[in-house]
Amino acid sequence: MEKKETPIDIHAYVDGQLDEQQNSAMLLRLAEDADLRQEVAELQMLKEMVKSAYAEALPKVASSQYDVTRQKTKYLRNMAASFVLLLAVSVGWLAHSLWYASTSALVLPIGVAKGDGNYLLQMSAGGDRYWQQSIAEIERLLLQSPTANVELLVNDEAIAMLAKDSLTAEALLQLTQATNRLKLSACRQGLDRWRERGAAINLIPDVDTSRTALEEVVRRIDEGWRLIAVSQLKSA
Amino acid sequence: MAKWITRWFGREVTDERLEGCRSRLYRLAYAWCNDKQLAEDIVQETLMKAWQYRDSIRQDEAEMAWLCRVLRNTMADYFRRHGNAEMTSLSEEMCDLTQLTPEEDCEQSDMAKQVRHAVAALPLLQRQIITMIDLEGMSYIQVANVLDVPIGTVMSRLSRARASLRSVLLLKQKETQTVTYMRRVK
Repeated sequence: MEKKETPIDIHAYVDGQLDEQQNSAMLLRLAEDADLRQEVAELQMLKEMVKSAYAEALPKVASSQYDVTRQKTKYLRNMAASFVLLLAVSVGWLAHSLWYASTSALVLPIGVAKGDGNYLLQMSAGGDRYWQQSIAEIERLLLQSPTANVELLVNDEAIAMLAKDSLTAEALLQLTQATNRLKLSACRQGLDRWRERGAAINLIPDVDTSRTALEEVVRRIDEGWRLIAVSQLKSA
Repeated sequence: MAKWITRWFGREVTDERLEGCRSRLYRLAYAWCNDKQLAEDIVQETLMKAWQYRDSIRQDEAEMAWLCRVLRNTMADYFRRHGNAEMTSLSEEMCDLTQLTPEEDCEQSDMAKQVRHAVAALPLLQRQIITMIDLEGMSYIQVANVLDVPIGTVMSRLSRARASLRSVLLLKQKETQTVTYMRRVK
């Protein structure tokens, strides 16, 4: 008899807590069960809703009262606060828009997209294992259809994935050289934030940095692309 | 001399790292107690304690887990001192929402308010678990360690918390959508 996943298994998948074997088993189940896909998509949306609901909650720190560190830190914190606020408003709006447009699973979990179409993989977390999974998904999407276009859009910590010295740079370069159906983009605001932290990133060639992540997601959704929720996975 | 410089430099780095965690800790504290001023005070106390024990701070993810543990203990101490085992009142946020400027009001989407209210209505343990996982991306094991509960408890409470949020937030929206759609069809 086929083993059915428990609610706890599904939560563990959404939170990136399954080991590789369990994760593969879940991907197989997702590929064959539309109800399960819908459930996963809803849980992922719920996670994003919680995240964005508190992203705009920032302390009203009276610096003179709470001064523990140097002025530079305060400046960086303020810049970070502005960024988080902007991101919160953006993500909140986006999540809201996506929810109303997504009863037909506009946002897909990784590993389940099938057939022709155009796919936008958006990710923000750091971690090599996490990035490798994204590259595997890109390869899968490009292989499954000779006409599918794929765009990898990174922001926050995931921008480091497109750095020339990252472990994933070589694989991405090979993919972009092998096909013109893969586009790489990095969030303009995210890059600015890296620069503000004094850690400017030297990106691999042909990365589009002309838009913010939000602008790009909205643009692609308007064009009928499907969004893949890579951001739910976590590094080991 | 070299030792002194290293030690001083190490202290600066530790300070910055601690300070860099303030916003993240505040978000958790605010989600747990639903009171902005109290959240700021508890985070400040947490950072002061962390500063005292800075030599035991480890790197990266372990650092945030350690700070979460200090935050959780600091908040528990506060509730014990004030004879209040759990703070669930929504009045603070309700009051805050009425004092927003028009710009702030625009920025605070209705959905964000609904989500915060729904999270605030969860039992404290569920609130702590779901926020450490969803806001901080902590693993189940880390959360279990922070809260001193078995990992099975983390998983079951998380499942319950999400079921509650889902029924309040998603299913409600689905119903609203259906009603709106039916009205349009009529």
